[in-house]
Amino acid sequence: MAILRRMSSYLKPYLSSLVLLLVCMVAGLLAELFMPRILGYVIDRGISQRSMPNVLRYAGLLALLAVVRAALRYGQMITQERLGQETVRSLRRDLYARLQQLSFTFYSVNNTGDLMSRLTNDVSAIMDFFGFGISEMMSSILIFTGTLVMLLIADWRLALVVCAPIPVLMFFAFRFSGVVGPAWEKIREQMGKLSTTLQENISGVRVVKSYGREHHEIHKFADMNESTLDANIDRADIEARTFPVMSFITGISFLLLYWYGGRRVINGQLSMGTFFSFNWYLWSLIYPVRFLGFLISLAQKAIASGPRVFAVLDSKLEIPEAADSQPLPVIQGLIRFEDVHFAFEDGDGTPVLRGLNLEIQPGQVVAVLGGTGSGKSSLINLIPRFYDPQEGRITVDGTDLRRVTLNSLRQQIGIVPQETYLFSDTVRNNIAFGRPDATDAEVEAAAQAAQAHEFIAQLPKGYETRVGERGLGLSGGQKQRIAIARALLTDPRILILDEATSSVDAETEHTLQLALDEVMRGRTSIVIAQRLSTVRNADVVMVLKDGLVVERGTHEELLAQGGEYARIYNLQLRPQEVINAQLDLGSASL
Amino acid sequence: MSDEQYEELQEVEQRPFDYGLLKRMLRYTIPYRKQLALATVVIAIGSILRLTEPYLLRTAIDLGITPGNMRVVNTVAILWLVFQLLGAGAEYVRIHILNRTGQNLLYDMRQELFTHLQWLSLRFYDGRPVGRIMARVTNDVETINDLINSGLVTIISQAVSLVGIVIILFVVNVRLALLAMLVVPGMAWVVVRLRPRMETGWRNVRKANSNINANLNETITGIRVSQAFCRENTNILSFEKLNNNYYDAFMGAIRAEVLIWPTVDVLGTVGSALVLWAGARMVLNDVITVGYVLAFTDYLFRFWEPISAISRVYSRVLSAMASAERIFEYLDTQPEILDAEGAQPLPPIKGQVTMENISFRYKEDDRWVLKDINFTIQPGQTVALVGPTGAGKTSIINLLMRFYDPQQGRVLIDGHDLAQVQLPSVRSQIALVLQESFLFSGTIADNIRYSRLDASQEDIERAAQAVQADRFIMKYADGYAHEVGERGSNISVGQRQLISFARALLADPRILILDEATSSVDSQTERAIQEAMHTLLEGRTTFIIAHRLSTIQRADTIFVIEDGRIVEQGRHEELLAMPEGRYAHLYQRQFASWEIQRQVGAAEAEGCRDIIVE
Repeated sequence: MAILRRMSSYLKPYLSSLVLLLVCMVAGLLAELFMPRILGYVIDRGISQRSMPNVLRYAGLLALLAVVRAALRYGQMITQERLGQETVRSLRRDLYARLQQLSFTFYSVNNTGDLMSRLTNDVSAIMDFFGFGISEMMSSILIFTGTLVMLLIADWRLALVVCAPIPVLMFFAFRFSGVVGPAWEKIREQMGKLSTTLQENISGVRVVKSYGREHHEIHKFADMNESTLDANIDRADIEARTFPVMSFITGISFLLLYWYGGRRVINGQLSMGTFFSFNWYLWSLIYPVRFLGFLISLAQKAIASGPRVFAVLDSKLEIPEAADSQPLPVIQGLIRFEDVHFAFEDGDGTPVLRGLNLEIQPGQVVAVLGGTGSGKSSLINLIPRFYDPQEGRITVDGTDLRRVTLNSLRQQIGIVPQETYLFSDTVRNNIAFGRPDATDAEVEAAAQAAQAHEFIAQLPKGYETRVGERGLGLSGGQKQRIAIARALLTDPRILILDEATSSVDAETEHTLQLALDEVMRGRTSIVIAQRLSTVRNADVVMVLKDGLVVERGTHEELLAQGGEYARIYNLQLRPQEVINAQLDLGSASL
Repeated sequence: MSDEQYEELQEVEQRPFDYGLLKRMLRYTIPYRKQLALATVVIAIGSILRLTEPYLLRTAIDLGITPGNMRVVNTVAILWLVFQLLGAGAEYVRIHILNRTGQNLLYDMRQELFTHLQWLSLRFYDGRPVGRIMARVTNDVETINDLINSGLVTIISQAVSLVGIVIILFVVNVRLALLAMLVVPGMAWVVVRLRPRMETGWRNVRKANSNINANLNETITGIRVSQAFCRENTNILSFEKLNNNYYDAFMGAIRAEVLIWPTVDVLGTVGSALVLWAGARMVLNDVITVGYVLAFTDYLFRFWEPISAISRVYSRVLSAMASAERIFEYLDTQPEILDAEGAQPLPPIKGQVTMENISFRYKEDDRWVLKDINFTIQPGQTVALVGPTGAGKTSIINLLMRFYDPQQGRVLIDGHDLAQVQLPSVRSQIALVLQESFLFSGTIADNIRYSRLDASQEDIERAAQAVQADRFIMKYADGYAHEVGERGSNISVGQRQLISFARALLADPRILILDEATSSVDSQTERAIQEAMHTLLEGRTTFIIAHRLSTIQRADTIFVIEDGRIVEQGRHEELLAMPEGRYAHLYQRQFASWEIQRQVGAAEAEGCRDIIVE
């Protein structure tokens, strides 16, 4: 019920529509209730009294009422559909807005396909109930009570007898409701899984094809498809067992009417006209009840979807903005980590950073090195507040990150991730992603600085060339330079760079180096370094191990220490020197 | 996420009703024709039973109540009970069969679509948003199911009632019946007039839905970038637009649909009133009895119900057709890469690769990406592909995998033309490690096993050990059973890459293709991979889109590719020795700016000389 109440809160802004719906319904109902009576008049006052003018009068009235009823019914239906759609629209809007705010932790445990299913299929299920369902329920209740009152007035004894099966019906309805709910829950969950499988299959189409795993994927999907089928058939079987019972019970009501009503007419306790109108009224009484099973199923479907939708809306914002948070003024770029402890929440809880302390001066270029799991990535994810540390604090220019608004912080940070995500859009818009209002000249300048202009200009439509989803069609190096241009365009005070060593070819390697030098100039830069040149050019080299800074200094200083850095240098960086040296020799021999 | 990515909604247009489409949709019911036939019979029985109700009522009134004969009333009551029981039975069978059939049909259609998608070529997927493809497999198929599940019941049961009632009406009284039918052409006219609006409306709803899906998929996948660049509000605004479009499209369709009911209602009541009036005259003239008129009007009211119901199902038919059109569009897309007539499986290969006069472009009107490529690589050789981005390296690999077919020339493996052998037998002997590692949600073991489904746990562990992935895998409490998702934080890009290495190794392919994949791992792992690659490459023909000089140096042949041609070919030393060569130029440019090389001490260079001489 709590879910139903919460779902209903989405109708609140449309209270006036709801009232309109109710008015249309009540008025339509009144028209409907009078129609049998008027039909009765046609017989009792018209045909029975052999009065043709009365027949005409009442038949005409009947037609007139039909017009009124039709207009009201139109109003009701259009309003009900509108309500359903308004609910969908606002639910989707809320969900989408929430998705924008939810932190990385949320996304690391939720699959895209499943989330999509929640925003489409589950929201639709809720809509079905809110548009059509609620309206039908309201009108059912109205018609039922209205008719019951009319029947009681006409002949209370007959009315009571005729209504006797209704409690039995109610019993079945309740039982049905309890069983069909879980069945729907299973279906909704299965749909989410099916959607996930589908989404992964399409996103990973290259892997599927390159290993020739089409059949495997087909089987995998067939499994999901079959589970969905089974879940639906279970639900259908429940309905098949219940609905006929419910209609049978309603049939009994008619039986009672004919049998008991017939007796009363014969005994002269009931007029023929009342008997006829009873017959008609009974349809109005039975129809809503007969519809009950369907409505219950519809409601249960919505109730099953509700938690899936609300789970997203209720997901804790891992990165809350304090109520009194202030915009961060333009910063110098002094970064301090004070006794920072951090562990990923979706993992096994092993601490990644254990009391990290460090300070980075404005304008410094810091190269971070360390093995997998040393905490490098955590370090760079904490500065833009993609995660919050469990203990300790991080300050920029002395201000605690948790005291400033997220946007004002992130706007001053530029990030070039290891893997470049390109949106299906033009190259221009991908570069201008962080500043959609940038002029063409600014975009071009950023691309030029990132050494990307040259290749973009050679693309079929230059900056207006569309790059596909996942940026298909561009090489790793090209994508990376677009990512750099993207970061550059926002003119960040702090630059974070997760160096993807060499996913670029020889020519690009060189240009990329130029681009990076350009980007880092005058900015506090933190680079997870893979290149010797980066390390050498850095003002400070920091070596992380097990979540702590174990060494700190310049390349030469650290090399002289003969510690962890020297080890990494020998393993990874020195071979690059060898190549340089070889180049020397090679060039010498030219 | 530009507007171009989205499907454009249309203005209302008048199109002829597409019977071909409807017929094709109905073809999906053929496997279930027995069930559907049974359902039709059952529905018909149910409807006929319901049709007897007014007749029973008339009997009870005229023969029982009016003459005061309680026995007739009792008999009728018992008959009624029996009919109700039969009706309930029929309803059970109906719901049972139709639901099952509908769900099975949904299953069939979804499976067919998915299966078809598996065989479509990459060209189909290029630039087609994932969310849009998904929408067709989930939502569009569902729409058709709706029609079958509830629409079919309505159509059959109401059509049966309609036919029955019309017959009864005419049998009972031809004049009254004709009078009632007067309004029917009016109804037909209204429904036909509303069709284009419903049709276009539903088509737009499907498109708007697809657009929402496309946007969702992309924003969710790219959420990290969005948050890093504070794009949240812009995203919300652009979604708002799509959300509103959906609303407008839906309301446009429903406005037309909703008009049907009141129209039928009004015209129907007008018809009934006419009958009452004429019937009353007949009673007055003692042509018929009161009970007669009542039964007639009762039937008549039941006559409008199916008409109204069927008219509204008509809207659902149109909606399903809009979806069917979209599903069939995909089903009709032919896979471009098909096995040739009589293609044989490629026998186990040694790994000789030849490209003969290959020219290739991605699209008809695009520029040529590869121009007259010729080479032969002997089994076990390692080829490094170098050259500027966009030169055509990836395209060579795409052709080798037969992701695309070249417009001119042939690709041969061990002398077999790729176009003439069965595709799976080719790809199963080649492993491709992509630049961006893609993992499926599942365990690490599942992900490695992907390349060889029958691999044992030992095989998997051995592959993981060979690329030294076991070191991080064993750090998880559940080891190989550790779940990895789309973007779990507990697994780094480098680790993902190691898993995809293990995956490739497990396949034990004769030909290995590495697409710029040796990046972004930490120094230890990097070192490990360098070693692992040595074993990995051993005895296999390998193509590497190379970027690392150590790899390039180790290659048996280097192809320098520029502007779609192989401009230079040879070993590292050979190429370097060509003074004006492209390779030498590339090589120098890469390091020219590195002032550091001058800082390298002579002694160190001396030491290096030894290494190189080795």
